[in-house]
Amino acid sequence: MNSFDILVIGGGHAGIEAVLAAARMGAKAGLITLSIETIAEMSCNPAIGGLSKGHLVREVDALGGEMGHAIDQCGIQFRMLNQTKGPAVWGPRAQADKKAYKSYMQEVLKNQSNLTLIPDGAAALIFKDKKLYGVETESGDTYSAGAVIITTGTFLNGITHRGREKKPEGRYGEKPSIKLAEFLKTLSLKIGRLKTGTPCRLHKDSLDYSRMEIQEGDPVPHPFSFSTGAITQKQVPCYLTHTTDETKKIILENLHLSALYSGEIKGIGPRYCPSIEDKFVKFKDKNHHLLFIEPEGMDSSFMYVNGAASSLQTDVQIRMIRSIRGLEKSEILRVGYAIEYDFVQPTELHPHLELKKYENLFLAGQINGTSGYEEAAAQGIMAGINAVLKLGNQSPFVLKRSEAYTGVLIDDLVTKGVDEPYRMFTSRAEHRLMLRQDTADRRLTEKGYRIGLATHDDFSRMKKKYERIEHSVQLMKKRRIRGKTLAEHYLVPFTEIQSVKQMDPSVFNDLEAFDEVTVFADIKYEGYMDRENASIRKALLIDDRVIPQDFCYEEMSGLRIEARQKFSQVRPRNLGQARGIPGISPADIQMLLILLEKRRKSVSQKEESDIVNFEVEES
Amino acid sequence: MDTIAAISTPSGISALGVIRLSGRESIPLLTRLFKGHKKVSSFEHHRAYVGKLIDGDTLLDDVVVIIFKAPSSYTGEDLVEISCHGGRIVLERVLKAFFKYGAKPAGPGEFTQRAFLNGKMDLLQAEAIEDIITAESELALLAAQSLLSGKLSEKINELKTQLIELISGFEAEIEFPEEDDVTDHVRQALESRYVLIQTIIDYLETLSDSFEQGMLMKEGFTVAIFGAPNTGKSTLLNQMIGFERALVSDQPGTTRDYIREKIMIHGLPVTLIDMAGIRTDAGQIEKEGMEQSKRLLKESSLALFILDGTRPVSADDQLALESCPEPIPKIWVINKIDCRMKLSIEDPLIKAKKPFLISALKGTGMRELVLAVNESLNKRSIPQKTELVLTHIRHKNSLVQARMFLSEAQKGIKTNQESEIVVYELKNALNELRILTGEVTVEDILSHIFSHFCIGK
Repeated sequence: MNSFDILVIGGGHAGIEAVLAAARMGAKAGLITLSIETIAEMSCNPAIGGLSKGHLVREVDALGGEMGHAIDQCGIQFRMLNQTKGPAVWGPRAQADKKAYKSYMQEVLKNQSNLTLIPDGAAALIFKDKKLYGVETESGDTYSAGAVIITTGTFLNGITHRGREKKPEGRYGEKPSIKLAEFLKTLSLKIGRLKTGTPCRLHKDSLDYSRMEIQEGDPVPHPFSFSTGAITQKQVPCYLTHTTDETKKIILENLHLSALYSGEIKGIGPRYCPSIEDKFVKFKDKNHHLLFIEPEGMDSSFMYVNGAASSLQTDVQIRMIRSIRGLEKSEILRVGYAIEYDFVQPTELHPHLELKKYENLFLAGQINGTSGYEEAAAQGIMAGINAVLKLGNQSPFVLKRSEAYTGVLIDDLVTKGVDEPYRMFTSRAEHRLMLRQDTADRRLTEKGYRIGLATHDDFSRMKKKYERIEHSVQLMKKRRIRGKTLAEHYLVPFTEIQSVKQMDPSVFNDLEAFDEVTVFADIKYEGYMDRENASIRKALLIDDRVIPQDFCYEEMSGLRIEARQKFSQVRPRNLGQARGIPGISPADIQMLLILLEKRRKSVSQKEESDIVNFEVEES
Repeated sequence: MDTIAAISTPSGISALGVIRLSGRESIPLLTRLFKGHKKVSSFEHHRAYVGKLIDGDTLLDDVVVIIFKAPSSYTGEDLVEISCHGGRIVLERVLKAFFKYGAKPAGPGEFTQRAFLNGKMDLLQAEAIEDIITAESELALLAAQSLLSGKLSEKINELKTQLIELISGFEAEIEFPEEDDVTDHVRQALESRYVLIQTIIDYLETLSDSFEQGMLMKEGFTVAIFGAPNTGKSTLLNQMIGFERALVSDQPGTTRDYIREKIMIHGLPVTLIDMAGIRTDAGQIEKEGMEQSKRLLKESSLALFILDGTRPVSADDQLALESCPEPIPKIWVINKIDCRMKLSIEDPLIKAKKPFLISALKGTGMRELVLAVNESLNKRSIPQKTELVLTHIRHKNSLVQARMFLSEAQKGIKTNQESEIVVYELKNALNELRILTGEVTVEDILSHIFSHFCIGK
């Protein structure tokens, strides 16, 4: 039967989470992908996690997603970044065995009930009576679906660049999605063009590691998934090296042979993931740049040169790479390239990732202007959940900015739109201290369980974990040594966790492997959490302010004309919803609040000349 | 939004009076009442036209009319200015006619409020307009004009930029722990950041301290008249009011209550306060009055200590003197010199205070006393004309809050707190400054990071 509840187009990191969430929540789900062998391909760096991205992976896991399990199984080096700072900004990161990761995910998909894999390209969406009906594939088959989730990544009209050489590719050696891209252009959506890039891959036996610095993984690896007890597999090292004066010279002399600088590329690239050319051009005073040499797998001969993304012409790129310390004799297995692709401006989306103009059509991942496997996965799981809820006539599942990085990510996308590939940062989360990576399960697992995604085991494991933690926290606040509680001892500046533990080890007896971090963080952050909670409540108070339905925006000359039009189109019920309208800035909300306040005052007949008697708290 | 109308010139008799209308209906309303050589519909923006306002058969007034079309008007809306003949009755009759056809009476400050809402000025500038209108002295005007010109906004923006730079440094270390460019930066960073925070704190302190000065410029000085009962304090007060009115002021003092009088002394706004007499054997009610006197004295810029020349120095005089806190500058005054003196003005203790000899009743010695008061107030911190001063408690509160958060951040650096906590305090400080002027988003911080560090593996 070619009839589905939910069809997902694209088998990347967004598509996987979307289709798994749908199937696990009981929907009949199908995944249309160009090739089953490339499902879960890591197109760029061989790593999952990192700062704030690690948070996203743990949130996906807490909701019942797969990415955390996969990397725990297939990681070959684990590091918790930022351990010299507080746990709120720790970032779990792992090098992945790319091949193992792919086959792990493919196995999971194949074994998932309710899920069908369809090896084909999507060519068009079918609408009947203006309602989404299904998908037509490149080989001419038709599949019907209640909802469709598009997760095409870089494949939409993908073009790769190496110097002046251009190829229609969605990824190295793979054909792009042209028909679907052309079809989407007929939907009167705002479509733009973005660019990203990847460095070259070298043969591992051709490098001189004695000229590089070794970087080992953590002695005790932190898992990503809350259900993983311990990581036991062997870990391998990465290597650090840097560019030389010669590298700089080659790049600056050959800039005209770079796709980016010759003007071939029109799409906008990310500032935080610049090509090596970019680094030398923008930071002229810096003569050397740090590079990381990362294995792509346990048995793989591919080494990834992290930090050297390039769109230089092939021969120049090879010369450039061989000017790098330790890479002098390297054998280049694949040169770096830049890739341009279509994306849909995410302000076209509701906060639950459904298109505003097309009911039951959802978008997730790089098509929404993001970059990164983790950002894709987080959107994927949310799109999958919401597609199922939509078909069941249930209200959307939207995470608040104060609840999860996933909430921050999606809110940023649908509210502000993007003008460069969007990457998550911890500093994008204004309530960062509340959104620790170690508490993603405390924040989200119950929600995941209630919507039918996280399992009962996940839920009860989480409950037990926080009972243990809460027990220790309470004991730390009660047990006194030398006139002070353990908690008070810990809050004295320069106190080490170890010395507090020695004061009374029995307080920590019941804790399991990674609980300790959470216990001490809960103590440390408690005061800040209280302050944060107060400001969140204040913001929610504003968000919950009801806007009268007869509020006449057209006459509010204080509002920007664009804001007036958008407000009167949407007619938001409250300020929180008004805030979610694309193109509405915090300043617009502030103005709306002032106007509401004015109206309230004039209604209550209390004229007030002071216009400065309230403050707006940005949520 | 309603179309509003109000008389824009002060009440009282004058040759001309101005009525303003603002809002979408202001030009149609004018069209309805105006009869002249030209039709309102043909009026050019910013030009004056002569005509009559006629409601039905009733001539309201001969007028000159200027229309300002949105958005090029004070309020940013269509605005009409009508010059009528002065005089309450005429003006009110015109205004009532506009009300009859749908205009609404403007609330206090509503024209300025609309200007703010329509983006014609920022919050700080809107506050300045209010100050300029109500300025009672040249100094107050100066402070208000510096606020209007955006000098405070400019300075606050400068501090915001410094804070964003500071935060970016910390954030770069948090977000990119593996970048060599960032770690290069860290090594010398903490110490210099601590110092930078200190300079911001110092500046905020100076600025919030200037609030007192700003209030002086805006509200003027307070001069307290105090002493034992029956030394002639009220007589002196009355004499000073009368004297100053006759001498310098064509502005009537605004009487607020019995003991406070506002007068101008050589262009300085001064509030005179006549204190309850202070004495040893006071009853309960008087004691409360004396407590209040002490409080008022504490807040005064200058105090006039009155002795009765017709009697020797008494315990009441002593008590009165003690009730005035030491740092408040005092001028000693011996009153009633027109009567028989029993107080020894040659007493070295009294002589040392260089008392002024006056008769408040007769007016003797008043000129010298008033000159001395003026001189003393002038000495009291008349600010440099270019210096920024705060004139609003709202501004002061934000700055004090911001300073508090900055101190917390410093404490964090000193006690080896994790950087995300230091940043938390810095961001709170930034938010306080933001409340003063406008928005800062996380994009500002990220943009700064990207333009100053080479990021990206």
